[in-house]
This record gives sequence, structure tokens and C-alpha cells, in this order.
Amino acid sequence: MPTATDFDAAARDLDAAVERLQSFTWGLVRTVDPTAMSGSSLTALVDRSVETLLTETAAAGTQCALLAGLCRQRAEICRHYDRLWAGYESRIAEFQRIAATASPGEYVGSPPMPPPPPAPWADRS
Amino acid sequence: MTTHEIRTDAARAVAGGLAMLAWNPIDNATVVRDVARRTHLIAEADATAILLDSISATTRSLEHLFRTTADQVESVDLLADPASLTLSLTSITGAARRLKGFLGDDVDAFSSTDAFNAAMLGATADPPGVGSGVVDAVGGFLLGDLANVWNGGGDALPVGQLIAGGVRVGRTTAWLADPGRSPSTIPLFNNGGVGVRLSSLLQRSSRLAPVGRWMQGPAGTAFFRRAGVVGGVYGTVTGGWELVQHGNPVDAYREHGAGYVADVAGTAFSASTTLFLLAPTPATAAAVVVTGVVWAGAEVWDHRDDIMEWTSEQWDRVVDGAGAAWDLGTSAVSTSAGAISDTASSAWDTGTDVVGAVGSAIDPRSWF
Repeated sequence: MPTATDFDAAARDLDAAVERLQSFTWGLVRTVDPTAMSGSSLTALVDRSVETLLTETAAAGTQCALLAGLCRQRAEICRHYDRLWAGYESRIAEFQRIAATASPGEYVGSPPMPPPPPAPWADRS
Repeated sequence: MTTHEIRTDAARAVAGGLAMLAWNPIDNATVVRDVARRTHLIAEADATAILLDSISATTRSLEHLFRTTADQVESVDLLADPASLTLSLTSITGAARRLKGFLGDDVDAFSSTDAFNAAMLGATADPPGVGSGVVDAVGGFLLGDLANVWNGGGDALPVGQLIAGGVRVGRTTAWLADPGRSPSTIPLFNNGGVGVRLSSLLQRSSRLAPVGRWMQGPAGTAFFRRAGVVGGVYGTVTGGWELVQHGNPVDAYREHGAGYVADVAGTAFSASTTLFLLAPTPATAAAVVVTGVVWAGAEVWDHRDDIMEWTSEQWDRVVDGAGAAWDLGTSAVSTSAGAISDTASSAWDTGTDVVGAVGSAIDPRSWF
């Protein structure tokens, strides 16, 4: 299962993809010379194609940004899980220390329970 | 009058730039798929990866259109054989059709966004579809008028073929009514409105003048007559095979109605036009007129609902598309778009006259 580190790395990759898509948009606008084929029906087809490409690229960039946001959100949930687990490890160590020094028959309480994963996809670092 | 211009150097430069740019969305699609695998976000990222694939494919298709157009305009410039002109136009319309397919049939921004939202939110989406008409109409006109094939319409109204068919029926009727008719004056592509104007345009160029004269000479006539026979035989055989696939004619008619009549009449029109080219007699000419009128009437009746939805704007696009295609082929000799539009308009007038004669229930002038 992915950890907070994995989600953070994925978010950075998706941010880079958004930047590359922005450069694609600028490159497309610079490359397609509207005077190369002027006046014919092919011009309308080219215009429509470029318009569609720009729209689709904007949609893809937005989707990548949303996916990056989702990865960051999940990374934060994984980090919270890491903190809960660290607290659990601290409590279990304390419990073991108490149990080791207790007299026979002395009540030491119940051992601490590990925190459940916040989601099926979440893992500890 | 609209000025049409293809700058081949600029078109090649655009194609080269687009070829480089097409790698960008592919790389990003790879990144998105890799991220999806690493983070178990397969369903959420799938629509985005598909959209990026589509962007790359459309970019490549656009590159192909620019490159093909530049290639073909230059090859037309060096034209040695008029048949190359048809190949050039076919090549360009093929590239345009491919691009239209990417724009219409594959994922577009909105359907992909819906799919993305569906994955993110658990909803569902229906991708829309877009048809293409202008390229098909121009291709259909050439298919009919030049190659004598009349059954390529599929499920859509074969506008281009109907126009060409109307022209063919009208000219055959005129030939039949001419007391001085002879086999040397039968209607062919090179002695029709489009062919004569094309030949005239070619003859204005010092380099292409021989081609224009060839079109009007006996060799050109023999070539277009043979092309019509070959295309007609092809249309008859493929049409006949489709009819065989329909099985029992009575059952096929009950199932498909006017569509089946159109298939039968289209095949008969192909056969009769082929026979007329092989043996131009009053009897075979009459067969052309009768089968052509029945075919046009059946096609119109089969698509009457679609026709009623047509607008004058759509017809303008057909004329514009025909003018653009011809201009592409003849830009080397500075073609006049007005002449081509006039030709197409006159072809349409003839076509509507013929269709109007069929029938009655619909006045063609009210369609457009």
C-alpha cells in the first residue's frame, strides 16, 4: 500500500505534468500558423482541432491538478496514521515496561490497541 | 470571393512542430498511469490518461493533415497524370476524415471530464458523438461523378452522390433528347461542368496545360470512360453482394422499406450507367434515367426525416467544402473558387430538378 512518501512523490509528478501540459498549450499556439492554410474548409477543421486540443489540454491539466490534490490529501491522511502509530508504539512500550516491573498478580491494565488504518489504501511510512 | 491559399513551407513547419509536441501528452499519460499504479488510483486516473492519449492522437492527426496537404499540393503542382489529382484529393480528404474521427468519435474534453468525475464521484456518463458531412459529401460527389459508384452512402444521406447522380441523370436525359447524339458525346467527368472547368483552369498554366488538353482529348475521354466502367462494375458487384446478404427480397423490404429500395435502385443505377458507358444507346440511356430517378427518390424518402432537419447553413458548408477541395487540387494554377461554387450550385440545381420530378410529397426548395 502507498505511504505518505509515495503520495507526496506522486503529487510532485502530477504537478510537473501540469506544467508540461501548460508548455504544450503554449507550444501549440506558437506552432500552428493560421496563415499556412487560409480560406479553405480545412482552415475551419484546423481551427476546430486546435480549439479542441486547447480545451482537452486544459481539462487534462485540471484533472492532473485534482489528482495531485487527492494525492496530497491522502499523504496527509497517511501522515496522520503515522502519528497515531507512533503514539501506539510509545504506549505499547510503556505498557511493556510496566508489565515487566509489576509484581505477580498486580493489575497492569489492558495493552493498548493499535490504531486501525484510516482507509484501505493507507499505509505507514 | 474567398481567397484560398496553401503555403506548403509553413504547413511543413507546422507539421514538424506538431510532431514534436505530440510527445508531450504521451509522456504525461505515461506519468499519470505510473502514478495511478503507485498510488492505487487506477480508476480515478484512467479517464485522464485516456484523454491525454486522445490529445496526442489528435495532435498527430493534425500533423498528418498539414503534412499530407503540403505533400499533395506540391504533387499536384508537378502533376503528370490527371488520375493523380483524384488520388491527391482522396488523400487529403482521408486525412481530414481521420482528424474528424478523432474529434468526434473518440474522447473529447467534456466526455472525458464526465468520465473523470464519474471515477471520482461514482457517477456515470454517456459520451456524445459528432458526425462529419462536408468531406463525405465531396468524396461522394467525386465517387459518383468521376468513378461512377452510386452505393457508398451507408446509413447517412449520400448528399454528394445524389448531386452527382442528379447531374448524371440530367445530362443523360439531355443526351437522349439530342437528335444529334452520338457515342462520343455521352456524359463523362471530363465533359461535365466540373471537368470542363477543371480542364480550363489547368490550361491556364504553362506547366499543366498539356494535362488540361489531355482531359478534353480522345485519350482523356477514353480514360474517364474506362474509369466509369471500372467504378460501375465495382459498384454493381459490391451492391449486388450486399443485396445477397439481405436474403429474401420480400423480407428485406419489410424490414428496411425505402432503404432496401434505395439499395436495389443504387445497384441498378450502377449497372445501367456501366452498360450505358459500354453501349450508349437510347435504351441504356433510358435505363440510366429511370434507375437514377428511382434511386434518388428512394434515398430521399428513406432519409426524409433527416432532410427536413437540414438548414441552408449545412448546404453552404457542402458548397464551401467542394470549393475548398477543388481549390486544394488546383491552387498551383490559382483557381477561382467562384467558378467551382457555381459548378456545384448548378449541379445541385440539376439534382434538385430531378429529385423534384420524383416526387411530390416533398418540395426540395423547402429543405434548404
